[in-house]
Amino acid sequence: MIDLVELYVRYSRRHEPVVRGVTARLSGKHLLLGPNGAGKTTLFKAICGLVPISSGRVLIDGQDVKSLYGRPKLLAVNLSEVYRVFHLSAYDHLRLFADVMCGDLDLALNIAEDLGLSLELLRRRKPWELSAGQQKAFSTSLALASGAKHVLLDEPFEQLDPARKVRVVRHVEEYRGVLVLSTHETWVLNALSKWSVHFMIEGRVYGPLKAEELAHASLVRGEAEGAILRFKAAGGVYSLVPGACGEPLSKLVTLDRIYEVTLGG
Amino acid sequence: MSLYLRLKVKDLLTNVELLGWSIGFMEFWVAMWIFVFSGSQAVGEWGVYVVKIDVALAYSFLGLLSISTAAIGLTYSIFHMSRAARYIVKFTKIGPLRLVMEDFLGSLTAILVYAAVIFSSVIGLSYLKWRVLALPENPLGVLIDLILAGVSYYWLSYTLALLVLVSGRTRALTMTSYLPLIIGFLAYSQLWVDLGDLIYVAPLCALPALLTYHGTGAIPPTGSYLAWLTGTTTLRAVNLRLAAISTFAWIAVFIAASLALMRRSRGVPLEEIRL
Repeated sequence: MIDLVELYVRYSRRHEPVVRGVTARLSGKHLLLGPNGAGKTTLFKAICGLVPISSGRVLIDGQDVKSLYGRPKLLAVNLSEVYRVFHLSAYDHLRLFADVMCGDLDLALNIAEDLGLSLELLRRRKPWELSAGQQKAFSTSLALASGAKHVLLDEPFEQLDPARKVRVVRHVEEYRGVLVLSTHETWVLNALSKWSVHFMIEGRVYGPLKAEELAHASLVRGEAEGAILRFKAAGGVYSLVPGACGEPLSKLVTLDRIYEVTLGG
Repeated sequence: MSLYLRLKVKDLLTNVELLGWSIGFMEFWVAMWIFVFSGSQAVGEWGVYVVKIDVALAYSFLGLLSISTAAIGLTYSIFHMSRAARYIVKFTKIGPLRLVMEDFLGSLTAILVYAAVIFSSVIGLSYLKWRVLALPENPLGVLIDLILAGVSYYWLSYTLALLVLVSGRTRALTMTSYLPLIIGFLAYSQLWVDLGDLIYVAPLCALPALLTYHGTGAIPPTGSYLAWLTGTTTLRAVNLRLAAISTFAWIAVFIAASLALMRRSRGVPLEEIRL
């Protein structure tokens, strides 16, 4: 279980916080839904202890992430930059991380193959020589093969073709453990309808909600009656209401379009 | 040997850039030293003795330059893996101490391989030219000196990489990473310049004296090695005890600085600092 307690993250004192007072409990399967720039990746980095926490706490199974060291199988993430260590092939990196994370190399290779990364390609290219989509598939394979109790997948569908997106869905559905998947794509609400959802906008997290509930919700301006969620964006208040009385959330395709809606687009 | 350590060594021994500068480029100067800058004949016992000193100077000074060139690459590699390192020490079986130790051992192994290549080529090419097998008087001493050089330059690189990260001045990385080479050339300048007592104070400038002593068995001067080789001037002999103390002191300084910087970097967003 991951507990976030009044979490604030800012990169420097001169800048506004990227994560603003987030309090949430993450157990089971979660979607972290939000437009690009909402702070999802920063939140994941904070959970991993990769960025400074201005205030608040991140607890993983009750232990503060700041004091966690040498704990394989506790948490894995698919941020590409943490899997670049040497000037060596992607295959060597896969071997290394499967070993040090006490994961399953064969499983990592199988998932990678399933997501379009052949062994030959992994041997030939360094991790940063893979395309953006391949890098994401590479780090996602490692995270899912780690066997970690908690897995964070940051935008695992980004730059993937539809067929591979479906395969990622299958892998995350099969994963046994706490899994938090961040995305700005709304089609996942239907694909992962049994998951719970946290909404993240402008550094704030709202929820939890049910994915199937959100899949049939619409976005309207202002504080609507009977809203399942109200949030602030671009200086205004918006509501998610059941039914099709506004802009259907699933038709937005990407939550980046929230800002178009706020502009009246 | 752990997989991390093996891959670290593989990384440093297959990095084309690092190999190009630390071995390829230095081999050019090895050839220049032996075939262009050195005398053509080794006549009589004295001639053989001079060749042996000449060869010892070659592997000492060029070996050190090779190590200092490798240190540039080390600074970069330490800097660039900082992002991954924070994740590794938290969520893998490699804790902070093990990561530092394995990184150090892997780097030291690679550095010693570079130095061994330079050493072997100097010995080989000098034999080719003069038919004199100029092996060191004290091979163990030379090996220990090379290890000391590797340890010194590794921790210097570590200090510099952490300094850039903690200060947040990531644009200074290129300039900072060249400091080991500048220090290497300061030591190299002793071929012509007598630094006097400064060699005990200047960072890592006492290493050539230790290497030359163990290579030749003769106590070298505090500088102007080429003049010493030709016997054109009378020079003050180096205090070997002070030279050793100076080297150990600088290693201690670099390790202490690295540990202090590591402590300061705890909780600092090393990976975001470079944005």
